[in-house]
Amino acid sequence: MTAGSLQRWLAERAPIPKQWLERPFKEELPVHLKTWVWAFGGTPLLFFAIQVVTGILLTFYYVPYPLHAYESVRQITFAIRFGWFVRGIHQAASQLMFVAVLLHMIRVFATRAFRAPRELTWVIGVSLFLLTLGFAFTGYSLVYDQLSYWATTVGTNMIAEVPLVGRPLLYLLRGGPDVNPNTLSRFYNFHIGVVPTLFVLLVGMHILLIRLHGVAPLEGDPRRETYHFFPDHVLREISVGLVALLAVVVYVMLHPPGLGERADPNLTPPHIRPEWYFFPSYRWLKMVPLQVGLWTSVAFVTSMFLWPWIDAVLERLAPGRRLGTIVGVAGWLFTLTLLVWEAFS
Amino acid sequence: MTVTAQKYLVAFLSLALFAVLIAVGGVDAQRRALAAKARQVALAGALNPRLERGRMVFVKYGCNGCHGTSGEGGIKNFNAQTGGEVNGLTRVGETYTREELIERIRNGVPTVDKADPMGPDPPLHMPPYRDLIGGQEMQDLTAYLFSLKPEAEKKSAESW
Repeated sequence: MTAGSLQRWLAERAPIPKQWLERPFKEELPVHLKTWVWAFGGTPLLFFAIQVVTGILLTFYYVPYPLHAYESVRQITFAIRFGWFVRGIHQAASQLMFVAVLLHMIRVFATRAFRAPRELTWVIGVSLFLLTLGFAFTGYSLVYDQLSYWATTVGTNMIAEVPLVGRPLLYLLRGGPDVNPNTLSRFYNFHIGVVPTLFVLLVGMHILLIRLHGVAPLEGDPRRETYHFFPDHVLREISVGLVALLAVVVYVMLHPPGLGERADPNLTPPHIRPEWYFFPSYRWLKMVPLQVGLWTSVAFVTSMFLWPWIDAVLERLAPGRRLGTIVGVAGWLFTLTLLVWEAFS
Repeated sequence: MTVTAQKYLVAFLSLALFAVLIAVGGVDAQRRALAAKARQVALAGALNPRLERGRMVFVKYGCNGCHGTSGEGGIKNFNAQTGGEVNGLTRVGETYTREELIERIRNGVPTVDKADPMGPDPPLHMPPYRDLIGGQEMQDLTAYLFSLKPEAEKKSAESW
């Protein structure tokens, strides 16, 4: 069968209009995108793809049962061919995925690309950010060493304090009042089933909305020139992706993943701390009374979701002063301060 | 940056990634060689083929899941009379005859005695292996279990 006849055979069986396939490649982009800062949108997606591939490989050997979980992670890390590498990439890429999502969000925030009619794209973006944290939290618990076990225990304890829904939510996550054998299988289910499914659906919607609306215009940029999505922009995205991949692979090679002591429910380690991306909320909850901390955290996340509308109100109150950006930057700086504070405390 | 320059950059980065992945293969081979050496040292002189077969039976039926990788015990079993843990197997040679040990494996331990009689039942118990282990496998397993010794005694034996 020649390439031409195969193409005809496919076109008859899947009659997708040719222009649908060609359109994304022929798309013209506004010229302000022609800098490296705008080439980070695809990086979170690249890291997600890496997580899917390495995650599937890890499920071949991981056993989500408390008696065997730790031993299976030990086998993956120290006995199975390339197991250390796959686990290391999964671990490092999860951290970089969080950084990539955050950088993308900061860029969108700084250029106010969330304004009407793109509010829904922003709201879905914030949901994807929270799902990335969900991936991190549920994934960390699966290692089942002392730190991962106790970070899960402390993290889920917080949920119990949320008014009204706290207790039922805690039961849903843990499968009982305490961390027990059900908890691990539930977290595993969330990590490889629920969260990825939601993530893929939302990424699809996010990309669809971006394609439907087109790229947001840059405020105060009078230029009207355009350039090609393919190959110009695609090459830039690939370059950024390759640099990120190189960084992850070299990091894992120089710092292969380790493993702490086996989880012991009867022995609380002296220093329990979550992963670094939870440092800001962890520090905040230590600083203020628990109920105040929880309610302000809920308010912070809600304001992230509602930011396009909050920004519009602030713009009406003080036109041209970019009050929204000032408030937002103050919020980001406060969060960064909490992170650095906790990291060095 | 021109499109041609970007193409060269992508080609260069791809080659660099390829080279680093080859280096990863080298690191993996090195790690596995070290692990194999460590295993050899651990097994050196300790296991004859029969004991090795017994150890494989021990792993095959998941005995290590509760009794520990080398039969050292220590897996938590809340409110079990044996110190809240699944007992180790490093003393079976001193406390059982071969026939008694075979009977124990065949019948399992359906009820684990409680440390606090008013407390809850310990979550773990040993199922009967009557229908699973028998014949040569049982002989090899018991030989392996009788060969187990506490870590401290192993070390003092090695020092001789």
